[in-house]
Amino acid sequence: MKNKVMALISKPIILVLIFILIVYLPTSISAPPEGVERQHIASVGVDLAENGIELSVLSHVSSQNDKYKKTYIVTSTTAPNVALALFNISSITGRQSALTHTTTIVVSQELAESGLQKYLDYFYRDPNVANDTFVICTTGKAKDLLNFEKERINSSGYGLEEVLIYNAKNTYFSDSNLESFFKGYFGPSQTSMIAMAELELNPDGEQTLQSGGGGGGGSSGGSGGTSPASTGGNSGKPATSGEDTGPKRIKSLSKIGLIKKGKYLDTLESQDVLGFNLVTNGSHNIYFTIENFTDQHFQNASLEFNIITNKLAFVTSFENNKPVFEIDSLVSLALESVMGEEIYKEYYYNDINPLSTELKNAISQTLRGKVALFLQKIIADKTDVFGVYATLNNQQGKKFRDWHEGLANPEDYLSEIEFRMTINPILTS
Amino acid sequence: MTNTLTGRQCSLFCSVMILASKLLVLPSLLYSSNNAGGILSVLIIFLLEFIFLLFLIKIKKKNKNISFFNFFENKIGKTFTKIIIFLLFLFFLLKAIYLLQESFSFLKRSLYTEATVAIFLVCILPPVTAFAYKGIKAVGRTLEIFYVLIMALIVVCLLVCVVSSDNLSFSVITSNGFSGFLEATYRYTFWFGDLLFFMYIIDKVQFDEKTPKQLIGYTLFSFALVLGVFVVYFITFQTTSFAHTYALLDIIQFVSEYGTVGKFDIVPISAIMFIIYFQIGMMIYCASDSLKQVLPFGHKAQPLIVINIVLVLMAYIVFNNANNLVIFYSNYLTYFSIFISVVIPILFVIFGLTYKKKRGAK
Repeated sequence: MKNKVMALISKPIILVLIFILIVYLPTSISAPPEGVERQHIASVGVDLAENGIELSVLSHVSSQNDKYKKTYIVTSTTAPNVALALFNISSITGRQSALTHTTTIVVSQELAESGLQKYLDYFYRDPNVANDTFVICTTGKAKDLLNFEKERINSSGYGLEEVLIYNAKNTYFSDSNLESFFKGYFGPSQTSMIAMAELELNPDGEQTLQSGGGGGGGSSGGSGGTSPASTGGNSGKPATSGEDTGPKRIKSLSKIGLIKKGKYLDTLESQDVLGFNLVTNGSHNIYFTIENFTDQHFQNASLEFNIITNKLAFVTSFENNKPVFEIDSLVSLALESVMGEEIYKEYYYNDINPLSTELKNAISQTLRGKVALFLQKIIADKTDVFGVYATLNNQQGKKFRDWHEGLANPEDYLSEIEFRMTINPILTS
Repeated sequence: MTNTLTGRQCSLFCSVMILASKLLVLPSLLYSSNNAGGILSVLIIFLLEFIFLLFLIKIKKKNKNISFFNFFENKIGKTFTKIIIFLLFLFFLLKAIYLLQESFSFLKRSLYTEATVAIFLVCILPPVTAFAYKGIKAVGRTLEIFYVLIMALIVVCLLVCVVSSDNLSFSVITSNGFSGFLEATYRYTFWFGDLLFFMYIIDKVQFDEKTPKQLIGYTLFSFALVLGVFVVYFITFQTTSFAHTYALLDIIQFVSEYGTVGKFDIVPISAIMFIIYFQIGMMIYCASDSLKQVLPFGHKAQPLIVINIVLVLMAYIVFNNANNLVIFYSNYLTYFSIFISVVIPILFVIFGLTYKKKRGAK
């Protein structure tokens, strides 16, 4: 036996193994689980404050109990920058702030107007924060949106992330995350898009808060890293954010904010977003209405169509030394509802397929009108949000770059490009 | 013979060594230098390396069991050969330091943020040193087992990205023009030249009829894989490519459908973890072999002890600042890298092809 042991420990690799066990095993066993020492931040909210920013985090702390449910709290602090604010948050909660599970960063419109890149830079650099973390802008306070999310998670386990995933796939068909923001920021037109969340007072919220949900606790004043801060938790105190006191809820999440050089510039309203969707690959379930339509099948009817698929092709050329950007769209439509004075039998039997020339023209005209509105907006704002520069650069190469450099105002290149659009609608059963 | 490789094992080593230090930081460095046009630098260097491989095959066919030390000694004498071998020792040592540092930063970020240099070295140095100490045959056999897994993991990463991407185009033509291409190629030469290891094992490979085809096939596969990673990386990140310093991991993290398959990270992490053992092991093997030729060691463990001491010291000096190491390698080692990666292979090819004739003349 002794010989066997001696033979075994005479092997270098066994000695290495024994060394590792002696050095690391006791410390590993005695150390508390890492999860317990941390607060896991689900969402971060950033608002402008007097001397920097007010950072709020929606987080939960793991604890060993027999309940599966996690309780979320909102904690806020003010500091000159994000790093210091997160340090403050840790000292308030007594837990290390872990951003590994952060899925959403909410910023207020006020902060976005002052320049987003300087605040998002911290999150973009931090390797613990995933690049596909959602970034959304709210017309109210970011902290209010976090409080709304807290109520929602604590009552139904359903957070903002799920809402944003749905909207990215079904409402505006584009990314609104850290990566897409910086891609746009470093892109040729320095333009990014960001989802907009409109807030309104929640009439039912006070009741919910008083029942023990917690109000997020406002914090104000102070400067540097020593400002007072508070945790929402289950304190039951209503939010005291200033002008619009009381809990908020999301009114709409279907608009898009236009960001130029990192600063909020404008909002694409629902109608503009429709136009944007029409020129975005992969878009679907786009609803539009044709009012007062009359042909052999319908009489002064209001037709609600749904675009099931939208196949796009961008073709560029130069005409008279001016770039031409042609958008060819093949849209497959479903007629979802018909509102008229009478019931149309043909509609039920799908006898309106193929579409009449009048209906095709009406559809084409309506959709082109939506796209024109959208183009007018981005041309006026000089915000190239659907890759006009990249497409022309890829297809026309040096010719386009030379033309672009020759412009008196290269930043305003969208206004010098001729846009054309062809729409071919077909009806699906 | 414990120190010989079959033709297939040698092909697998060529394939794995080509991936060394190209799947993590290099894509972002080349993008910073020449945007997506950086891929042209990779293409041209791969073309040169492929030509070098063809010559290596030709030399091996011509001179069955002659080591590369003999080729050099025969032509330029012992003193100059020792100088060249010492330079090669430095090259492999610096490569090993870089690979260790890159792996450390990568694993620290992706797996264990609180990892210390000591833990990392304890985990990695013993097996890679054993690789160099025990001889290449055992490791060749191990590689035969792991090769398919490693490559499958990388291919899976690429497929996931290609399937998830809605934009599959990017332009390699940049405003930097030809000078940008030259600048990127010149600056990052150190990240290439990995086929030099073949010179060290050329006399230890058992060549048969299939071996040349295997070597060419596996090497081309690795070239395609590296280029695939570059293409997918540039497509995925476009204008922010410079900011993503761990290409293989970052592309997977980004395309993971809104984090719902976040655990998919384990695929690139596993690929890199497996691969670094073979790469660093081979670098240390070549460095140790060089040192043995230059200095009179009594035992084969002695050069390995020296190399390990240097690696541990360098780890504590440079590991905590990855940027400094990259700046040093890309600014101060360019001429050295060009000499090692271009001049030495040319000399080797000339000496190898003319070796028999001169020996006959004697």
